Amino acid sequence: MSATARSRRSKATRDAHLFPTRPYDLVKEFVVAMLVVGILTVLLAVVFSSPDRKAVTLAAWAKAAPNDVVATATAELAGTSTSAGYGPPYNHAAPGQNLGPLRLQRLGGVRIPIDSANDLVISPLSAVTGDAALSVALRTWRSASDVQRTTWAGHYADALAAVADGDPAKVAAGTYGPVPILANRLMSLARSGSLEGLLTSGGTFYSSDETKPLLLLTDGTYLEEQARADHLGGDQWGMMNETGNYPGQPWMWLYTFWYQVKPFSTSTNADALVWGLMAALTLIFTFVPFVPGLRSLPRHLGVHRLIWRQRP
Amino acid sequence: MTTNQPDPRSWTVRLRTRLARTVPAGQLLPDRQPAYVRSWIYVFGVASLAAFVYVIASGLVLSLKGSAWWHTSSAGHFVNSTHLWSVELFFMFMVIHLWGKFFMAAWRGRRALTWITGAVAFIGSVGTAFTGYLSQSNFDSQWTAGQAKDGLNAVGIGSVFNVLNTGQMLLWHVMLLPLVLGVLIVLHIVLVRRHGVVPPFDAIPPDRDHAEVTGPPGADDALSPEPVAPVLR
Amino acid sequence: MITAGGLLSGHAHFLHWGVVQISLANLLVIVMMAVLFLLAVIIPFPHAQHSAVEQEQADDH
Repeated sequence: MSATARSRRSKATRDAHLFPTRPYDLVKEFVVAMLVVGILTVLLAVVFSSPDRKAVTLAAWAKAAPNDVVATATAELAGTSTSAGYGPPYNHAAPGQNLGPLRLQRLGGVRIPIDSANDLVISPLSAVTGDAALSVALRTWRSASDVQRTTWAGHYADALAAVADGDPAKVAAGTYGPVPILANRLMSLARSGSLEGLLTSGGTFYSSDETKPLLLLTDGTYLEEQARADHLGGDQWGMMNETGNYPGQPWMWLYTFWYQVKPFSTSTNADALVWGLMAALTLIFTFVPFVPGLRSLPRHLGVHRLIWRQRP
Repeated sequence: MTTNQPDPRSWTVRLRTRLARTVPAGQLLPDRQPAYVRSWIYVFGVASLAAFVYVIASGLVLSLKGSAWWHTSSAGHFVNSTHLWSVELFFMFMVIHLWGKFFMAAWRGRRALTWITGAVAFIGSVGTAFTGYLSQSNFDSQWTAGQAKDGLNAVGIGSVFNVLNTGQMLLWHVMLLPLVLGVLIVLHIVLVRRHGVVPPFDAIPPDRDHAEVTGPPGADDALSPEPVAPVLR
Repeated sequence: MITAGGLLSGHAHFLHWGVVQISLANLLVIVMMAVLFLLAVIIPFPHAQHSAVEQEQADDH
C-alpha cells in the first residue's frame, strides 16, 4: 500500500468519532421532536383548517358560462382549440416544444391520441337519443369533408367572437352547417351533468382517467378566469399559490420565478426551456460536493462560525 | 471436522458482515455525540423526520376511507388539515436543515452520498407534494393538472406521467413516491450514522499525530481528505 | 361538501414588488423559516458550556 493510499485510508476512518464527545440522547431528541411537531401540526390544523375549493363540474361550467362552452365546442370542431392544435402526446397538429436541437415533445410521441372534434364533441353527442335535430346534425357533420367541417366551424367561431359575450342567440345568420346545433347540444349535455360520464367511460365500467374532461375544460376560458382570480395563473407565480389565504408550495419559488422573466415569459418554448434550466440547476444542487468553487463557498461565507463557536 | 466458526462463504455471514461494516453497532444509536454538536441547527434533521412521520400517518388515515372521504366528512377534513400542515412543517424543517448543512459544507470527509441522498429526497418530496395537489379531486387538482401537463409534455414525459390521469396520480402519491422517499430517507439516516456528524472546518482531533494525513488546505470536496491545519483557539 | 372554515379561507392577500408577486401566507412561511434559521444559529444550545466533555479513546476502527 502506498503512502498516499495509507493516508487516504487513515483519513477515511479518522472521522467524527475521533473527536471528544459528550452525552447526547438521540432517542429523547426524536421523541421530543415528535411531541413538538405533533402539537404544532394539530394546532395549525385546528386553527387554520385546509382549503377545499370544489371542483368545477362540466355542469357548473355550462350553468355559469354557457357561451364559453358553446365557443369551446365550436373551437374543438374547427380544430382551433388548445388541445386540437397541441401536438404530442395528443396529436400531430404541432411539432411541440424543443430544448435547443432536442425535440423532446415530439420524441415523446403521440401516446394519448385525442381527436378533439371527435373525442370531446361528436362522440359524446352520439350517445344522445331522441333528439331528431341533433341526429340530422351529426349525420350532416359525418358526411361532410374535412374542409367543409372546418369552414363551417371556423365561420361560426368568428361569428360568435363578433357578438357581445359570444352569445349564440345574437349571432347573424350564416353558413355554419350543423355546428350551431352540435355546440348547443354539447352545452345542454354538459348542463345536464352527463357529459363527464360520456367523456370518461371509454367503454369501461370503471373510470379513473380525467384526461378528456380536463382537456375540454382547460380548452375553455372559464376555469382560467376562476384560477386567475385566485392568483393561480402561470404569470402570477401561481405555481406557488393556493386558493384563499393558505400557504401553497413556496418551495416552487425558483421554478415559477423563471416564467415571470424574459426570455421565458415571452417564449413559446418556455416550458421546455424552464424544464431544461431547472434540470441543470437540480443536477448542480445534487452534486454540490463536486462542483469546484460552489463546494468551497460555505467556508468563505462564514456562517459556520456561528454554528461552531468553539473549536474542538 | 465440524466447527462453530461462521463459514466466510455463507451468503448470510457475508450480508451480516457487510451490514456490520456499514453501520457498526456503536454508531447506529450512539449515546454520545462529538462535542462540536452543540447548536440548535442540528435539531432540524430530526424535526424533518418527525414531520415526515406525521405526513405518512395522516396520509394513512386519509386513505382508510377512500380518496373522497375528506370532502364529505368534517373528521376527514380535519385529517386532511393535519396532512397539509405536517407537509408545510416538513418542508420548512427540511429546508432549514438543508441551509444548515450547506453552510457547514456537510459533504466534507466522504459524506457526498449523504448530501446527494438528502438532495434527492428533497426533490422527491417536491414531486410527492405535487402529486398530492393532483390527488385532491378539487379545483386545485383541476387547475394544477391543466397547467402542469404543458411542462411535462414539453419535455416528452407527459404521456408516461399523465397528470390528467387522476388514478395514476393518486397511486403515485400514496404508494410509489412515498415508498421511494422512505427508502431515500432511511439511506440518508444510515449514511449520517455511518459517517457521524461532520466536524468543523480545519478541525483535527486533539492528542493525535496527524502529520501523515495532512491534505491540501482548502480542499472542501467530499472525497479528498479533510484539510488539516493547526487546531484553532 | 365540507368547506374550509379556517381563518385563512377569506380573500387572499398578495404583495407585489416589480416582477415579484407573493401571497402573504407564503411570505410568512418563508420569513418564519429565515427567523427559525437565524434563531437556531444564534441562540446557544442548552448545556453547551457546562456539559462535561470527555475525551474518548480514539478508536481507529
